[in-house]
Amino acid sequence: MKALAIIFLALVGTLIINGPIQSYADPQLDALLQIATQARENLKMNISQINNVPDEITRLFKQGSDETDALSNAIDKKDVVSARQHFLSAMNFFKTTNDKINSLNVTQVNNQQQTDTLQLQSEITRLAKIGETLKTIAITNHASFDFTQFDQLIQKAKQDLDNGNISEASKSIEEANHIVIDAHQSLTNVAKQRTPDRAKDFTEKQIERLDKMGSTSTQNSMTQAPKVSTTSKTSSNFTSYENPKDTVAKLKKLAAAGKVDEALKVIKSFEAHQK
Amino acid sequence: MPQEYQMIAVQEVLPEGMLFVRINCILTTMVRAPVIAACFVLLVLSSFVQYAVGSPKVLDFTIYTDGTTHVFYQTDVDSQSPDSALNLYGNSIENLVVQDENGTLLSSRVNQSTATVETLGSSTIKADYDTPDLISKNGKTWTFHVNSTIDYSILLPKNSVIVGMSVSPLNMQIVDDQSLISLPSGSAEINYIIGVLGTSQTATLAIQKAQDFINTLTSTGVKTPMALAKLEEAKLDFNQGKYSDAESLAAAAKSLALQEQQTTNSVSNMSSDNLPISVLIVGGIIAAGAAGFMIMKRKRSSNSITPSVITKNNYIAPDKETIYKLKPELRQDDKDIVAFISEKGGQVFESELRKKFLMPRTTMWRAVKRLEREDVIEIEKVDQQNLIKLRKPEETEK
Repeated sequence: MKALAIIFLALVGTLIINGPIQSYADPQLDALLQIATQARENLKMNISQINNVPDEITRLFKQGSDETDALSNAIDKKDVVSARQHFLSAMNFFKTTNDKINSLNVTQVNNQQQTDTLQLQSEITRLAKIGETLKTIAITNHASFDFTQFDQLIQKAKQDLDNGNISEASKSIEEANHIVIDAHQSLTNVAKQRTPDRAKDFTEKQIERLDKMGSTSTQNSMTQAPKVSTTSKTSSNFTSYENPKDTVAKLKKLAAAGKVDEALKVIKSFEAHQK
Repeated sequence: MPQEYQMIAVQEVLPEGMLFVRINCILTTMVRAPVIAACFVLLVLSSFVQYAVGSPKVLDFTIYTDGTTHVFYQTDVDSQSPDSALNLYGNSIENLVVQDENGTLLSSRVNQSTATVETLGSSTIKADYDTPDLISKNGKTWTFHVNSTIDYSILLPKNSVIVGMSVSPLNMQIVDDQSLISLPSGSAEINYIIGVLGTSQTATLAIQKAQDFINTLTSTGVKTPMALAKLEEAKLDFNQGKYSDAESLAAAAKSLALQEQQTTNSVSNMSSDNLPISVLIVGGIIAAGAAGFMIMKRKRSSNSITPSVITKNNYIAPDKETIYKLKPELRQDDKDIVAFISEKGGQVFESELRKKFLMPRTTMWRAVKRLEREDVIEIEKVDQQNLIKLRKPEETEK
């Protein structure tokens, strides 16, 4: 009965320690096949566009294709290790094939309208996301910045792009980009302005914490031999005290003198010393 | 023994067919049940504890089509320390914002690829920024390279297909037509192509090509009812998001149009055998005239594209190879820009670069700014236009 309970507990213990790690280490085999197959299909179509395909490209592509088939077989057999090897091998062959195709420079599609549209769509998405992040930060931090014009410009850029008016869309995006830069600068300034107050609060809290630490250590030392305070020179040339009481005294002095920056350096060196 | 005696007594009293359960078995089960229950509770709790205590770090990369990467990084920091150093991915950092667990904006200073964040009591920091340094381009292949100490995810741009990968992914899923890949910690390289066959972009191109071809035939009097029907099918599939099918149907529409043209030609050839030679001569003269007019028009338009003449005040163009040697870390697309400027005598207008590399204004602006930061080029304002000049090697070296 006892032996059974011990074995059972050991089993559960092993599960607790290893369970999540093992399940995390297993790759999604379908994803491997999906990526390799997509690469194969894409290269196949690219190769079909080339006149007189060099033998090297054909050979490399075939090797990659064979590795993809082997990957599929390994997945059917649920052989994770083999599947991984075939995936990496296939992707390596496909990469080399793609590099060789690139060197031929025959598959470049030079359609300015298409390229511009795609690039601008991406630009709009990127700016809209940055705008949303900055808006949320501005609201959370009660910073006043008007994003109305930014929203209008993004809407206009989208409409212009839908109507095929690339140059107008490009102008709107550029203006929106400037607003993002301004908003970012404005929020950076807000953060800088609020830092001294936050630093002061932090210093006060640290004084309180170290004060408590000091009183606890004093109570403990009542029954023990008195601890010798050691000093150490820190990189910032501030003397750090191992004893929290001394540090608190120094911090209080600096805080009272309004030297918050120096107080922060003392806290930092004290923390570093504690570690 | 008294227990055994009691059991026997019960057994004797029991009527025939009644189930007999031994008392010591019930007792064992009763003792085991709480142990089993406790184990299960421990197992369930452990997953929560591991989730809470385990690494709370999050690292997400969002890749955009112009080669910019947006990085989101979340990590725990020492709440007793006034500041915290944050390693950034890339050297050129744009739009960096750092927040704490409550969304409070934190002040930070960036030095190369490290940011010092004034955490002042925060226990978690969340950093958002953009960098162009994680991606390079060779031909039409883009390469994302990163070396991370933690597991991370990558969101690839729309219409992109991976053609090379140096590590096995942990997972992959499609989110809003974009591939979201989870990768393990360590160094990884992903090669991908944007705007490949089978995607919406190439399907649009195929439909457009087929439409143009049919329109041309229609304008010359060739009727293409079958091709038009097939093209409609292609458009229908495209609207339903079946880009690969749409592309195949568009190609089929073009083939049908070609067949219909051949059929019409064969019919007209039979009748044209009787045409007088004079008509053919007149037709030939008209065609030659049209061709001449087109050539003239093209020449004129090419002249009008040429930007305003750049005055070269004893400016000696630096050699591109020298720049490459001094700046080996330059991205391939930046090297291409340098090569183009060098070919053009060391200075070009930004508008020329946009035309050459088919890039929108803001994308080219960022590329130019990047090269300016690297001291490879300098920007001058000439007639309200940006004139991009390659810096002399000695200036670049500085």
